Amino acid sequence: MVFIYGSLVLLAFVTLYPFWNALAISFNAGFDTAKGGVTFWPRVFSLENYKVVLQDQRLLDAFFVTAARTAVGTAGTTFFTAMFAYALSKRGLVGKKFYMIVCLITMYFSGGLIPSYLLIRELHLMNTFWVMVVPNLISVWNMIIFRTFFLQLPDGLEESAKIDGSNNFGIFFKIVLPVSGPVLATLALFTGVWHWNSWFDASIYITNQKLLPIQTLLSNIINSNLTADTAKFLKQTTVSMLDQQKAVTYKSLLMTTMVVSTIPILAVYPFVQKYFAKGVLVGSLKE
Amino acid sequence: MWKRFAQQWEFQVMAIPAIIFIIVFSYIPMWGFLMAFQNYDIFRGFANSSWVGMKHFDMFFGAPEFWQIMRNTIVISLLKLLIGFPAPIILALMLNEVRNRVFKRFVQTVSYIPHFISLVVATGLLISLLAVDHGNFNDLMLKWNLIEEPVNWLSTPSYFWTILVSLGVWKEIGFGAIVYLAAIAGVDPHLYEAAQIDGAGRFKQVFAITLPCIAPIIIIFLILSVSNILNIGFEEILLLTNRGANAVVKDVSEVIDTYVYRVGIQNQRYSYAVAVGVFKSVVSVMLLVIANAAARKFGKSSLW
Amino acid sequence: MQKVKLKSPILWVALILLMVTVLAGCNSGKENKVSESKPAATTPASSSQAGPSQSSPDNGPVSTDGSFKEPLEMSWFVVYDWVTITPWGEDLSTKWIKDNKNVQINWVAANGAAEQNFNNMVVSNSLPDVLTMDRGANIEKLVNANMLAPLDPYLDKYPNLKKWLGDDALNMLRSADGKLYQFPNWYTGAGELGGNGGWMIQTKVYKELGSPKLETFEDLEQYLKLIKEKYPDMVPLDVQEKFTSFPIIYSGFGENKTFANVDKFFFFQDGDKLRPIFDDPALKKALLYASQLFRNKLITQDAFTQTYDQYMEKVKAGKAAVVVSADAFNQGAEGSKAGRLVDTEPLYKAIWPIHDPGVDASKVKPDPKYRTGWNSTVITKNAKDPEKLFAFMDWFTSPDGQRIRFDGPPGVLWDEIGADGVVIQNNKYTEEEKSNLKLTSDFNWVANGNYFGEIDIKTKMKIDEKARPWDAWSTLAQKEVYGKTSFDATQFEGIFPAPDTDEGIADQRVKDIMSELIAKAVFAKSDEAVEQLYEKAKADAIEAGIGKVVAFKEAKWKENLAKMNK
Repeated sequence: MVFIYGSLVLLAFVTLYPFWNALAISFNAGFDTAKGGVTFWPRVFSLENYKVVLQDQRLLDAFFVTAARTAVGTAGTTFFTAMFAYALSKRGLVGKKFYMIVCLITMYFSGGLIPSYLLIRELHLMNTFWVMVVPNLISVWNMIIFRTFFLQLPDGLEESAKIDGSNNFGIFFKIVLPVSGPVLATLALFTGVWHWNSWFDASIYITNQKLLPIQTLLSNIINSNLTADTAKFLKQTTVSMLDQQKAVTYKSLLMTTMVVSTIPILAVYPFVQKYFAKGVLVGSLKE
Repeated sequence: MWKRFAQQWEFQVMAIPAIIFIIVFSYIPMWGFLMAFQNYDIFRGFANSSWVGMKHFDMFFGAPEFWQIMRNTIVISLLKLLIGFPAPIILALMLNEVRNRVFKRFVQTVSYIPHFISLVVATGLLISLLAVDHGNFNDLMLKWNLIEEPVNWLSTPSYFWTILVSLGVWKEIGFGAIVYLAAIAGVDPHLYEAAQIDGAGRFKQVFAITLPCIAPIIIIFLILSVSNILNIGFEEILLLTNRGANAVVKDVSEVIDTYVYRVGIQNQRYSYAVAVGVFKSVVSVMLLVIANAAARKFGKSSLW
Repeated sequence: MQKVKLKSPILWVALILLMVTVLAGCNSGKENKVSESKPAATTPASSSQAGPSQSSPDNGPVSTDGSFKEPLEMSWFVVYDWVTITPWGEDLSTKWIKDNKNVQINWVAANGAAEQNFNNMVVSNSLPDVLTMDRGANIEKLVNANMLAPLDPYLDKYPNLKKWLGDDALNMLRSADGKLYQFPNWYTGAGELGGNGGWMIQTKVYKELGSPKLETFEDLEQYLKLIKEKYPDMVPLDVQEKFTSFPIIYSGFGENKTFANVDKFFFFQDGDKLRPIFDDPALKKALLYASQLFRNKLITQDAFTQTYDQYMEKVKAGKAAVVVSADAFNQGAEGSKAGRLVDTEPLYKAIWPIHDPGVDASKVKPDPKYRTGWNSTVITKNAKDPEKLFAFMDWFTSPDGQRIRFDGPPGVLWDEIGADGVVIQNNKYTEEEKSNLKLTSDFNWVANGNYFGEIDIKTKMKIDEKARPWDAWSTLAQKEVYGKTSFDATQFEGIFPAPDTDEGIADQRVKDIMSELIAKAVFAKSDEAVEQLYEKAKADAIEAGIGKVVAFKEAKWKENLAKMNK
């Protein structure tokens, strides 16, 4: 038991420290951070970083976009994928093998970016909010997990509902979904996190700067400072105006935005944990 | 057959639109893989680019680095599998044993933070941690007298794999444990009671009850992981080798994806990159079939 | 029932796959056919616009001072991952241009995926009006695919480009069909090359150690040993992230050797021939020297693992005693700025490149510079009015336009222009206030290097030394050292093979071999090991085809020389 507690504490420290460090840097004045050596606590306390982040209209827009896409996308994907998986878990389903193979192949074969881009153009999804949601509505990977879970459900569960006279849709909505609490929550979390963190799809499909999600915007900021090779050629400095003996430097900004974009997800997790309670499944069967 | 189809119409209604969706978004763009057999030129377009058959494949198999790349890819993947795969499971099992709910929640939440730290930041931190001049790790080791002078960890080929795998575990252990925790939550507590009555200790219960009950999920993940052996992320490796600048470790760090990124994409040899991608896909599917057949043989569960 | 079902799903899948693929392939083929006809459709329209009806005698819609009667709007894509551009009009300079010249630029974002976005635009024929990108294969392909507007008709009407660049360099920019499509960036006339790279020293410790002679590699080694002894906390020699500056060390071992020989060219000049770099004795000497320094811990041990940030942290904190960098120009200013609060003298000082004792110091030229600048801007056929766009760009690179860019619009920092073309500062703002003004933009994509070299430096020199902006360090350093040690590499412009050709593939292989050699040689434990690595790399390079790579580049070089002397 000591071993378990010991290793968990070590793990907690190792996983927490980098984030804690980022927190410290985000509250530290930028020019001081540049000297190196800030670890646990801010050396020169400053709220400038947060002021810049929270007041920058572009970043606020991006937050809103990401939040919207996560909410809508997660709800949509989870619902449609779960329903699909449920159908595929039915043993007698006509064409089941065919469906499964169609799905599995897509996990390994893809046409690449150019064909996808042309398709999105054809579908008139370019530069719209929906391009971030619609193409992801069915997730094969999630479907496989759902399906495995549904296969495990005891038949008795559905028998009792059938006797009561519901049709298959009814069974799905009234019995199966509620009972799938842990899995639904988990996969909703995975999908939500994926949406929250995704940046690449928007970077090629969206040109409207007001519609960019937060991670794309962040990667723009990061990339604009990442390579020094470029500085070689420009006679004028590439350093942005923010970086002049001020409280906000690129590095401090990076840490701050990372903190700000991670905290919402961390805050969501305790709510999700609720669904991991034991015995949810068993309780309903006893009836 | 059609009679059955009509009987289960609701399920078909649940399934068919999804299949159509997949065909639209995944199959229609698939024509792109044919670019592997062309010298695709974005200026000429698909219809007008010349066809070269297996040329790119030959070039890839004949590249001097081919065997090294394959070796590195497979070794790193296997290491990640051997260490990275059980790690979240063990964490989930350990967390399950913890009585104190506050501690449990704390560790759970904290352990999945690294998943959200971007690789750029994470590798940056790791690099400065392992730095020779005043790196924290070297300083610590010196203080504890474990080494005599600072070691250049990241430039020593023999440490590279360890560092890489450790980074991977650190990043995904907490997040990966979530699924297993959900599965463990679904285990009937009565089974545990019954086992306790039979005299099984806590440790034995884990092996006799918990693991067998979550076995299906573990096996599915295992099958998927095995089939992804060739697809290890190149971003971490790229960042840890300072975008390829740290060529001292190149012999052990170059994998298929970093090679394609450097030689294919950065040089606009688009078709070459696609060809290597097709190679990987074909091998992955083969591995998937083998792994699935093996799982079927052992009885428990499989993908199809 | 079961056995039959086994076979058919797979067959079904294969059939559908095939059908869908063929259908979609045909579809996209159609798509491209349609898109290919589009450029043809727009060509007649634009050529008629460039006709005589445009340039009416009353200075019609297109003027030579950059202002336009009707608003001029253009979409502009700078094809680099690391670019984020302030929206036009959000800083004082671009706002002034917008209001006074009636010009609006709509930037197209790269979003960190520049190359991919560029590919997508080409494939779907949705390129913006203007592109800024590296010279090379992509521009030539755009020309061949008939997607760019030629600039020749406008050269004489809007004379700034021609005047400040010079005809010979202008000819260098012409494409295979003899026409000019590229507008160079940061171009300079002959004799005004500028220079960015070289050596610099931390002045505080230098003074404390008695300012010893620091000219040859032997001097350097002594100095570094002294630093290691007396200041164990400092890094003796820092070499940029990823040891990017090894080639500068190489250049000190001979005359007229630039760092590009080692990182891009893979040849060195021997009279009027070009020979493979591995035949150059200077390379081996440089490797041995670097290896020895590293072994004796006189070079930072993190050379290969450190990132730009980590390296700059040391520079800013004054922790490096000697620094060699291809961007000393900017980094010295950054480092000195950080240290300026503490000392009255700048923290870093540029010094003449370190060289081998037998080499003529005035012929050591590490930094290759191209009179044609470092990248190009092109106007695509999707632009409705290429002449107007050229007119604007031409005006912007004239002294009038550059003045707005470097010194800000009139009425802010200056009101009048002096006789020598230099603005007269009105001293309305303090240094602090100046840095809070959103004064000049990062609109760097068509720029005239001559202005910077000749006029801007005069502006800066007129300001009192203590009050000078921190980037005056750069200007001075360039004037005194870096500008004098740069090499006119214009003749070597564009000599690289396209990456998907045989020579291009060999070129990439040689590049890999070289970077591996440098890394392994530096880490080698003995001189013999370095020698072995060197011999092996030489053999590998020959096998990879360095011979044909150098031959290809030599042929292109000779072509360039002919072009320039036309």
